[in-house]
Amino acid sequence: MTNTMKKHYLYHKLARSVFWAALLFAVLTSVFSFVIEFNRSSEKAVIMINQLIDTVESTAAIAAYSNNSTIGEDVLKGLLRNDVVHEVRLSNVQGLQLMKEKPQDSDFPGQTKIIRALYSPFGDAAIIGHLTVIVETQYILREARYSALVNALNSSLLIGITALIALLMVRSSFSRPLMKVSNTLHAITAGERERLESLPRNQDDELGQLVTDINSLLEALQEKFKVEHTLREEIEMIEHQLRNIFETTSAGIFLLDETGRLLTANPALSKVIGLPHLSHTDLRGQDFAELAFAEPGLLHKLMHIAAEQGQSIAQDLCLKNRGEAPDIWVHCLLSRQLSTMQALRFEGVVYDVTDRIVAESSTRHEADHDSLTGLFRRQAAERQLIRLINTRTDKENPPVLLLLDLDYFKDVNDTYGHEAGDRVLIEAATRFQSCIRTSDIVARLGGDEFLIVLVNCASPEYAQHIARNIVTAIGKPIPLSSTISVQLGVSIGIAVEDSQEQTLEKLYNSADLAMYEVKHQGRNGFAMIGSDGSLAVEIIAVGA
Amino acid sequence: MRNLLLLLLLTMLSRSTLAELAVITHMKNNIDTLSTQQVQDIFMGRTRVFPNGKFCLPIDQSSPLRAEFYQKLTARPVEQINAYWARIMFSGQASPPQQLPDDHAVLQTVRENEGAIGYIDKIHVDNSVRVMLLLK
Repeated sequence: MTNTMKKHYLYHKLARSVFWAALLFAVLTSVFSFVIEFNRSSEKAVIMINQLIDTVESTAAIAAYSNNSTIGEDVLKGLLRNDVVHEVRLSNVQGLQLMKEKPQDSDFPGQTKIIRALYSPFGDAAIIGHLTVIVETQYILREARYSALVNALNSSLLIGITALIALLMVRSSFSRPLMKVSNTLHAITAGERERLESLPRNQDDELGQLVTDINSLLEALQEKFKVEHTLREEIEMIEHQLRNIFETTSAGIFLLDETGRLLTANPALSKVIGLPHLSHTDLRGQDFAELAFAEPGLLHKLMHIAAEQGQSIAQDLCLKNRGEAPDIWVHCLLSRQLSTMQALRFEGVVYDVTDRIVAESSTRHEADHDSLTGLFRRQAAERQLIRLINTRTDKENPPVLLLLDLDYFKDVNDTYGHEAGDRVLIEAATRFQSCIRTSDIVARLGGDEFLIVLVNCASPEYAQHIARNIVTAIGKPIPLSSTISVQLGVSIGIAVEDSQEQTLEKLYNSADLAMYEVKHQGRNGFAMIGSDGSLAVEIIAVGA
Repeated sequence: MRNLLLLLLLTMLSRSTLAELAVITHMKNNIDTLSTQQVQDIFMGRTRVFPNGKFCLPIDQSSPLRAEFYQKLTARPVEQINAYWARIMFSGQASPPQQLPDDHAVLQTVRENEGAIGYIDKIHVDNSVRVMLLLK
């Protein structure tokens, strides 16, 4: 309500403008008419005075001629009775000087002076005197002022009436409907069903068009509001669902800044990374990699790749061990956030994959290892050997291949059964392992055949030393029960990888050749093919 | 009858046009001659002295000669002269010259007054007066 009280109406502004314009116009008109009228009055005064002089000229001439001051004064008095005359003088050549003037002391400079020469009333055209009349400037001014005033009043009245009519018309046909539209529009809230009333008198003019346009605009606005409202509801619903997922999922969801600090995390994250006592607000600002993972560098590497390639990248990562028996593994999916352009952000998901990792690793173990002895199978051992050969840079210490075959194993199997055979194999495997370094490779090739690869073997002599130890270890009796024990032997063929061109097969063949030579020469010993192709066989006395 | 009328007209014409007027002064007046302007100024009351400074007394006539005199002197009808004098008289400052009935009376007065000046028909001029101006 107070708002409407303070409102400045256009109509009032217009009225003010018209008033000032009218006033200015009236003043200008007055000044103009004053100037015009002053000039006109001046001219008129001169004409009037000339006419007056015409009237009294002959009498004045007589007065001047006869040097008669009485007549002269009569003439002057008569002239002075006119408003337009301020002062009169009569002079003649005989020295008559008559002068009369109005009492009021109006001292205007540049007063108009009219001088009429007087001729003798008789005969010739001799100048006998002068009649001088000075115009009453006051009179001209008064005339001009009066005229200007009348003009000003006239124009003011005309302008005023015209302006008033114009204003009233503007008010009734423009201002009022506009005010109505304005007030209604003011009261309408955007998106509501309310519309402006159409103006019956302004149906075909700009105001009518304005109302129509505003109404269609309101219509469009309402439509838009409706659409937006629906959209917002949908978005809210989706957001709610997403939030629900975010809150209740068992996977940990997080957002990292460019340095790897946590910006946001869902409640599940702390459980996933094994820190259930921390709330997701506690996690905020912590270095995620240092906090969670056994090898923080891996995550940093992932971040680096994700930032460079701009695509999501995934890897299984091991969590920092906090005393739990098995390591906990999580699958981490990391990607660079694309929506925010200003700063580098990473979004990621982690979830527990320990069971899978365990299952996978046991599967691989089964595939790679002999189930009976726990030693590598042939393929796994060969894989490692090949890798060893291919990646070796140390020329001095080549890997050494030992091919082993248990002697008399078939007899044990036949005499005491498979179970006993198995126990013998297990024991043999244990004894092999006790003779070598943990970095060396031991594999069961099948049956009673074994393979040992000595990594970084210092010298052929060292290899022979190891072989000797093995033969000795295997030569010791193997107890099958409290009463029965068996004694076995082993034949070992040794081959040294002396050049990288040497294939695995050739190495095998060399070792095989050496081993059969041992078997042939009495078993329980080892043989080694030298670089010159000579075969050195050493048979060790069992039980010695 | 027609001849009589013609005669009368001729007589009148001869009286008005053929008569020559003489402006006369006292014999003792030592001025040789006066101009028309000077005579006019004296008779119209503009001046009261002769050019030599002596007081002058203009003498008018009430005879028909008066109209002729003023006509010849000022080229104005006598009515205008009368109106002029009427105005002057009304102001009370001056009066028109004294009027005498005929040439004889004028002659007589001029002879008797030293400052007098008058006009008569030229045919009546004699040696007792001085002719100052002849008006044709």
